[in-house]
This record gives sequence, structure tokens and C-alpha cells, in this order.
Amino acid sequence: MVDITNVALNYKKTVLTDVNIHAENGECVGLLGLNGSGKSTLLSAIAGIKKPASGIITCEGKIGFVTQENALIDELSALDNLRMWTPLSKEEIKKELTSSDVSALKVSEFVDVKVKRMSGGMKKRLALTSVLMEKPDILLLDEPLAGLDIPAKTDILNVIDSYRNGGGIVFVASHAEEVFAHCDKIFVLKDGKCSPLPDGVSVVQAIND
Amino acid sequence: MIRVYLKRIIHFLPYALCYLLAFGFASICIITYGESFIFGDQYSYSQAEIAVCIADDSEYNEIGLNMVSQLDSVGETVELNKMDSEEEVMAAVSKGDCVAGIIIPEGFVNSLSTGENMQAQIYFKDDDSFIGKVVNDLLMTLANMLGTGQCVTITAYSYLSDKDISSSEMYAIGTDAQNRSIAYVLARSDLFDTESIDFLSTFSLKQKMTASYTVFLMVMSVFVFAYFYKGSNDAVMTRMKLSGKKPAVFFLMETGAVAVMMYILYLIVFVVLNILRLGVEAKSLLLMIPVILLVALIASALTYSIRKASTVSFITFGAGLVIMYLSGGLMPVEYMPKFFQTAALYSPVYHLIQYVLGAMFT
Repeated sequence: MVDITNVALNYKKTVLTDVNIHAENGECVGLLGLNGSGKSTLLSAIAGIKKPASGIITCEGKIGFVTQENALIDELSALDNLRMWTPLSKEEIKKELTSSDVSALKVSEFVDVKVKRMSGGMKKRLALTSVLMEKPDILLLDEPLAGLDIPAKTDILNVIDSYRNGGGIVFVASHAEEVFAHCDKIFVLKDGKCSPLPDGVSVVQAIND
Repeated sequence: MIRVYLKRIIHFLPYALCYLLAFGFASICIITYGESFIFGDQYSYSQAEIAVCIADDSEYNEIGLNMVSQLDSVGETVELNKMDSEEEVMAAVSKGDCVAGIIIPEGFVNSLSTGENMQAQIYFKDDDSFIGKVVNDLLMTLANMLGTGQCVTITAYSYLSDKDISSSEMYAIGTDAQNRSIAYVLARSDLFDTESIDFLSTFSLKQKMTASYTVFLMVMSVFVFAYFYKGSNDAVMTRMKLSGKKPAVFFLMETGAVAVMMYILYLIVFVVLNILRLGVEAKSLLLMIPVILLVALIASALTYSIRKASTVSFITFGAGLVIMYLSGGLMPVEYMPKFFQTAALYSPVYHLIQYVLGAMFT
């Protein structure tokens, strides 16, 4: 469960007030807004990296956060990057990559490739795999589809669905319209306010208005 | 995780070394070849030519002049130019070819032992009291050496002439007395054990530059190693939180990894400098460890507080360059203006360089 009550956030020139969001297990929450509207700041606050100016954020469970800037180490391979964080052996990691939910991200296909030689899509898949292998209860995704081709987008959206169906909570901040089709709740961040997407208003309309 | 970091070192180090190779090569060129013509010989500025004319061209005068010329203090200070006439000496001084001229009159050497005390004439173009004192002291040394030898010989002969001994024995005793007195005069410098209280004066310019450029290379390596640090990155910090790993563990591990890479860099510097016969002491392999740990720790603190690698790199290059210059890391302190020499004493980096100098050389 994630509960955000009367939260206000300050970041650079962005001031976000009256943020009230509640998410139960198995729900996907979409955060929609223009650049600089405070989406990433809100995710950072949920992750506990940034402290809210006021209000309370309650999260029950382990949080996994896939930021826009990845936590990967360029000079190491995908396998070594995964080894950084998990106590599993090489063989166990390889087995996990092919048998668990993360197999849909197809990291096993480029497990020995160094990060500096990977495309943007491969890095996104690896970063998400790395987080999912920790089996978090809450998953925060910041622009997960940015710069990806259609097959990569489809794979990531499938993983989000499968994770949510498994009882996990997903918060996803994005501009991409296709993400919001997978969300149970959508919030629009605009002019310092965070409000639910009104009924009958499309994502495109909400952004353009 | 430690294994992964060791692997990172193996992958990152060649990249770092490539960047530092150019700087290291330039430093070695300056230290081994450029040092003399960039900074000049420390003593060359004090070489002064002095014209000497000795009217009585006796063997004693020749011996005396050679003895004086071979003294370290004289050899490094003045060059004695022997001339044939008083006019030549005067002309050399007038033209400025020599800073002073000495005319030793006929019978001067004999007068030293007879008590006649003839005067030698010293000429200067300018009223320079320092030069006057130097030349006067030289002349005094010359007179002392010759006079001591002669006095002893004459006294020995005078005493022995009343005794009933053969002329060959008398000659042997006289010569022995003369040799002993001259040996005493020549060995006079051994009566005093001199030791400089200035730590720096015991090292050559080349050694000072080698030490300071080594410190500079270590400091500048942060310019590259800043990109090795990942623990300061927001994404990594978030990931760290998820895995339950402590930031302090990352901080220490990354500091250790950078210190290892810096030490490998120093090992290369050590080998190259010794191949070039700069005589870096083996003890430095141990004594450099605290210096390397200190630089790695400062680099970690910078990276963790500033976070962006490119900013850390920029600060290291800009601020590091200025601090190193003001601490005598780029140019030996004694070649800097007096104000900077005084200011350098207050810089911790200056004292770090002194430590490295003592660690690398004896």
C-alpha cells in the first residue's frame, strides 16, 4: 500500500502542493505531466530520496526505483552489473534471467555485452531486470518507454502488467500515451497541482489543455 | 561485489592510464631533459670572471693559483683568468669582461715569509662591496696557503742550519714540514662539519621536480578517476537502498579501488623513473601509500559531495592546477617570487610535496 496525504514538494522552481494519492496492492498509478511538472520529484519523494516540504508519505514494502539516469556501470557486462547487487552466483543469475518473470525482458540474450556497447533499449531492459530481481513490493518507473522501439515498449509494458497482476504496486511517470492504457489511476501534474484525470478527458487532451 | 569492483579496476585502469600517459610523458621530458634550460643551472648565475696578473711568475705562484682555483667554493663562484700584464687586467675590468682584477707585484710571495707584507692591488669597475669582499677573501686564502708553506720551510731551514746534519737530510725535513703545512691548509675545511638546516637544500633540482610532478600526477589523476565513482549517483543510491547496502560501504570500497589504481600508477612512475636512473628509493613504495590514500579520500569526498563527475573533473583540473602552482608543485618554490615562496609555506600541498620528496629520495 502507498498513501500520499497532503504532500507538498519543492524542487528548483517547481512547487507541487496538495498531492493526495492512494494505491493498493495490484494497482498501477500513472503520473502525467509536462517536462518540469514535478513527476520525477514526486517519484523521488515516494522512494525516500527527497524529503517532502510537508505532508506524509506511507509505503508498505520494499521500493524498487528505475530512474531516467540508470545505475549501470559502463565498463562492466550485463551479468557483472547484476552481480553488483545480488548475492546470487553467475549460474543462478543466468537461470533467473530465463525462468522468472524478468525473462520477458530478454536480458539473457545480451548477458555478456558491456553496458557501454548497449543500445538505450538494452540498458532500460537491464536496469528494470536488475530492480525486479530484488522482488520489490512497489515499483517506481520514471519514463520507462523513453527512446525505445516498439518491441522494447511492448516487452516492458508486458512486464508491468505481469508485475501488477502478481500483486505489486506500480507508479509510472511518463509522456507516452500507451503507458496510461495499463494504469488503474491517472494523475495529472499541472501548475503545481496533482489532480486525478477527469472522466471523459483523454491523456492527450489533459496534456494539451 | 568486491570481485565485481576488482573487475571494474581491470577494465577502467587502461582507460585512465591512456589519459595520464600524455601528462606523464611531458613531465618526464621536463624532468630529464628540460630542467636545465627551463630553470637553468642553480649556480651559473654566480660565476664571475676575475683577471689575475702575477708579475713574479714563480713556481710557488702557479701552485698557489691552482690550489685556490680547485677549491669548491672558489670553483663554483669565480673563474680566474690569468693575464700577462697589468694593462690587460685593467682593460678586461674596464670593458666589463671581468668583474675584478688582481695584480700581484713581484716579490709578493717572498714578502709573505719575510714580514715585508707587500700589497696586492685589486681593481673594480663598480663600487661593489660584495665582489670586493669575495676577491679580498680569495687573495687572503691564496696568501695564507703560500705564506704558511713558506714560513714553515724557512723556519725549518733556519733551525736546522745550526744542527750537524747533512744537506739532504735538511732538505727532506724541510720538504716534509712544507708538505705537512700545505696539507693542513688544504684540509682546513674538514675541521668543520657543515649541515644545512634547510631541508630542501639537500635535494637537487631534478629530485625536487620529480617529487612535485609525481604529486601533481596523483592529484591530476582525480580528473580521470572522478568518472569511476558511481556511489554518488542518485540512481545508484536508489539501487543501494533497494538492496539494503550501506552508502558508507560503497564510499570505502570506491575509495579503496581508486587508491589501488593510483598505487598501480605510482608503481609505473617508480619503474619508469628508475629506468631513467633518477634513483627513486624503494622505501617510497611503502611511504607513498598514505599520500595515495589521502588523495583518494579527498577525491571520494569531492565526488560524493558534488556528485557530477564532470564537475569534479573540472574542479580538479582548475583548482588543482592553481593550488599545485602556489605550492611549488609545478615550479620549484625557489624559482617563484618571494611572496609566493612565503605563501607556499602555508599550503598543505607544499608540505605534502616535501613529504613525497623525502619518501622518494634520501
